[in-house]
Amino acid sequence: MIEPHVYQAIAAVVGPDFISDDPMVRQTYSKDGAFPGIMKRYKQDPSAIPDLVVLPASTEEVQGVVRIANRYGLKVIPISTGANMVSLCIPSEPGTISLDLKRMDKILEINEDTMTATIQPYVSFARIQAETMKRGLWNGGTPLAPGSCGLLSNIINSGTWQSSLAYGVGLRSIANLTLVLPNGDILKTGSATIPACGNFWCQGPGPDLKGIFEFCNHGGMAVIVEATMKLHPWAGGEWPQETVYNRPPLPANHRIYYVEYPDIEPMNEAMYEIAHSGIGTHLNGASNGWVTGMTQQTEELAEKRWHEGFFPRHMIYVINAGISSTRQLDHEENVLRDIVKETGGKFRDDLNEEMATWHGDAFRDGCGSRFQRRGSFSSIKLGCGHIDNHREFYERSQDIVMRHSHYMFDEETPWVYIFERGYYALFEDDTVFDQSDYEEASSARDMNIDGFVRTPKQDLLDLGYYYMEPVLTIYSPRVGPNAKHWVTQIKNVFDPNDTMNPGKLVRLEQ
Amino acid sequence: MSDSILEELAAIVGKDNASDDPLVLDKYSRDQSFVPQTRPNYVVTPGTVAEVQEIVRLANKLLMPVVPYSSGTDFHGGAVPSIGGILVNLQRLNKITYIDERNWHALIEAGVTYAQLQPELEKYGLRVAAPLTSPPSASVLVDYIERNPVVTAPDFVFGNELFSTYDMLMPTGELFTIGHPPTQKSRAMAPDGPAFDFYRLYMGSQGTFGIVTQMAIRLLPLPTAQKVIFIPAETVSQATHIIQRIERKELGLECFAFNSFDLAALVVDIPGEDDKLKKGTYVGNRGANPWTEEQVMQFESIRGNLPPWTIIVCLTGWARRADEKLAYQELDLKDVAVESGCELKNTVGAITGLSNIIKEEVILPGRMQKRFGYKGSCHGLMFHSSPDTVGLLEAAIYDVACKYNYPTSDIGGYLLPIERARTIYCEFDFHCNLDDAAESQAVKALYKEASEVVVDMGGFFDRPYGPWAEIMYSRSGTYAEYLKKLKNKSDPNNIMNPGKLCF
Repeated sequence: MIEPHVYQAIAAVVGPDFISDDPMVRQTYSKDGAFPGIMKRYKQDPSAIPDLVVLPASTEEVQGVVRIANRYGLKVIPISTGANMVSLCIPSEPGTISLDLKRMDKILEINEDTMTATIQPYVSFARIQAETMKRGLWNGGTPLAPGSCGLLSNIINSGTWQSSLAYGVGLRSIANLTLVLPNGDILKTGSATIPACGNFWCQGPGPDLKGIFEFCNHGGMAVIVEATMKLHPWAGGEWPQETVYNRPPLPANHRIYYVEYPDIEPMNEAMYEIAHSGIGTHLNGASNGWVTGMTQQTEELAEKRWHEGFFPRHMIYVINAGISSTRQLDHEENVLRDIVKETGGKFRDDLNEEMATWHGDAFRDGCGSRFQRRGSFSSIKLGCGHIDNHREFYERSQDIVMRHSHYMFDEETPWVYIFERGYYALFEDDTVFDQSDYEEASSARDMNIDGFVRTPKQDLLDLGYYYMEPVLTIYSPRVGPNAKHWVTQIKNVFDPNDTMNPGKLVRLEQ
Repeated sequence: MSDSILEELAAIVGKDNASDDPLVLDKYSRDQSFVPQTRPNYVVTPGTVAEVQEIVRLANKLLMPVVPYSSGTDFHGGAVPSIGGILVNLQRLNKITYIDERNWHALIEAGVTYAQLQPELEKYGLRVAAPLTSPPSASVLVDYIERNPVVTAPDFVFGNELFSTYDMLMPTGELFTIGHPPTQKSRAMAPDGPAFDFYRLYMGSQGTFGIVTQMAIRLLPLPTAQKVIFIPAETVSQATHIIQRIERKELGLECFAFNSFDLAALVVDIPGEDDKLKKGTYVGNRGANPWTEEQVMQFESIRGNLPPWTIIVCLTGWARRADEKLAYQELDLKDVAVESGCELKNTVGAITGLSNIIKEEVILPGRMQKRFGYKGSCHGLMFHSSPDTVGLLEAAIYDVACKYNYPTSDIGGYLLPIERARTIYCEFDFHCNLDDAAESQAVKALYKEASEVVVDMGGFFDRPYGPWAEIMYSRSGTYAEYLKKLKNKSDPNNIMNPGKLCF
């Protein structure tokens, strides 16, 4: 319950049309497709429903709202495009304001000289790509998420891209941030800290505060109101045209290759060799479950393809880009063919037609969200390590899958992202489920907790992403006895009243 | 009178590794920069991380400053004490714990130098990416944690943030592993985590948040084919424009530019100093021995034949079809040259063997130390600039130099494109003889004024050493305020390198 004078104060900041305590409006902000939100809904937990929904239009309005919230002990959860799939924007306690940033939707600048784009939180992947590709640039990748997904929030949470081979994980692509702290202070990072310098450089001065607001911060200390993103040279022209969005052609000056392997080891060797040869922009181990789910037009067709084993269990795909010329494409193809021959792979050009929707996803999402046609999806396990950890990850992951009831892709191979020219890799195993079926959702949730919270106690290679607080405790023996304490101290510096998205990062004792 | 603190320190590191001898303290009281000389009270040289932990805990008990010191090749005052304290020399922490040949990683301690590491890596066909401006005796770990841009910086992946995880000794004496939690098997992980991108917080911190004791660094393959191409340019703006065109095509691995001063200094013959150059001891903490008249004449002669700026591009191949890669890249570079109206050459200034010199320099740099000998000390303005602004900044620096009657022909110039020329790392050097009080005072004043002009016109000192700290933090609004708050939480007694940055 928000006191009338607080409501009026906030309404005075954003205007009466952009604040609501209507129960129907508020309820829409209590839902997403992930377990914490789903389980709260089944329990009819009222804390999942925000008390207010507020839509600021500017940095100044965000400052005004958070100052009021901070003063009156309210909580603030920033939301960008609402494509959140891990319940990070679902309230966890009474007195919460859902701060919907969809009115902050401007591309403020595309700077061709410094290859950067400065954006507000609601700018989507689709928009930034369309605008930058016209200028011979692009943001360097796309997550397997809807094109409407917010670029900033995806990247800030360590979005991973199929092109992370060449351009790193999303986090490497942030030049500067402009943040509103709970007390209303504006904090800029990188060269943007000095007004005369502008947005072009990402580190410093001195210690770089930007990192504190990245990765698993989850809006837990500030509202990011502007970000300057790094762009990269784009050789593909203006692509794709909307008329062929569902089955887009490959962009100009790009070539795609699908290669099948009989087992994990030769597939690993091929990925290792390709990554370390320096060729290509995209290199991934393509999960048979993922490609089945994403490339098929209907669920029935996906099930049919799955049961007939249409897609290879062990397959990689590679995309080469001719950034400098077609000579580069020819050279890189020669290198790739050498590696495939040596490692016993088989080019599957015959899959090109079947995978046509996928070609678009490699640059801009077209079909990735089809994987969620069951309603929801969740990672079972994420693992970080080097390429040779692939087998271990697969076996651990299957061990978890086999101990739980599951849906459809029961012998799915993991998705393998090769990052940063092979310096490390990410392995991902996921499940899909119908959130309207309590039993199915509960089963999937148990599997998720098994994968993320139980197994990191062992000496595994896990990315504790969703359950930051327990994971910080679990990791402490490996990273230092007081990791959680130090994270809490930092939270205390920026957000001493625990105003920002409480409980998602660490919870402060009040 | 016995010194109980010295005794306590000696009990930790051994008598031979703890000193309060004024001659020893003097050696650590300065470097060749204009940062004021201040002696530490003690110098200790621990041999293990556990000893460093004990020293830090003792310092906290005594409220005594701790100044981390690695290789002694910091030319900008970062390891010169501000208010005395215990100077912790990390040179004995020089273990290469392992080299992971398959995953192109090595785990190294803080005292490991390029001269020590590179020969070991070459046994495995690998290399460590080094900054052209660092001597072979520099600490690899400190260059990486201090964001000194390496020669491969034009490449997005192979040039930046070349580490996976590192261990930070916090001011409390507690060790904290930054990055993805390592397993028993590997530290070849993501640098992100735990929880935040912590690794960024401690980069560029000049030891004010703690001491990085070891780091898992990323390695690169040694080239199996390499071709060096030289491109003359008349102005810095033209050089920047051409670099941008090359980098937007992602051609070559290393790419940088020297003005005629820095390129001539790189190749000038310094008889009898080869050993010092290879060891990295050519520059001492009072600078280098000034060149003789003959050497200056030789330098002038070389410089007179050079174009104002020379862009140097290394086409680099390794492993598979390396020659084929070089061949296509050279053709593509020719296309860029035609579009940009520039010429590709095999050398400049009729210098013989220049290509081989560059090939050596990009693997284990050392020759840029020579420029310190022009007058004995060298004071670089090291900043990032957007490509379009480099020309304006050079002109502004030249204006300030003229005001101080400093000859613009004696300003060294080095450009390094970062991330495909998203930004240009610039270094413009002033030279003076530190034993000439009038000259050094004038250059000191010029250096400070030029620094302010650079920042006000858009240059960014991301590593605010010496006078740049005040210049940057006085202009950075809330940034410095929150840095101070964080520092206070992390190091409430402000024992870690006090007086640096804004602390």
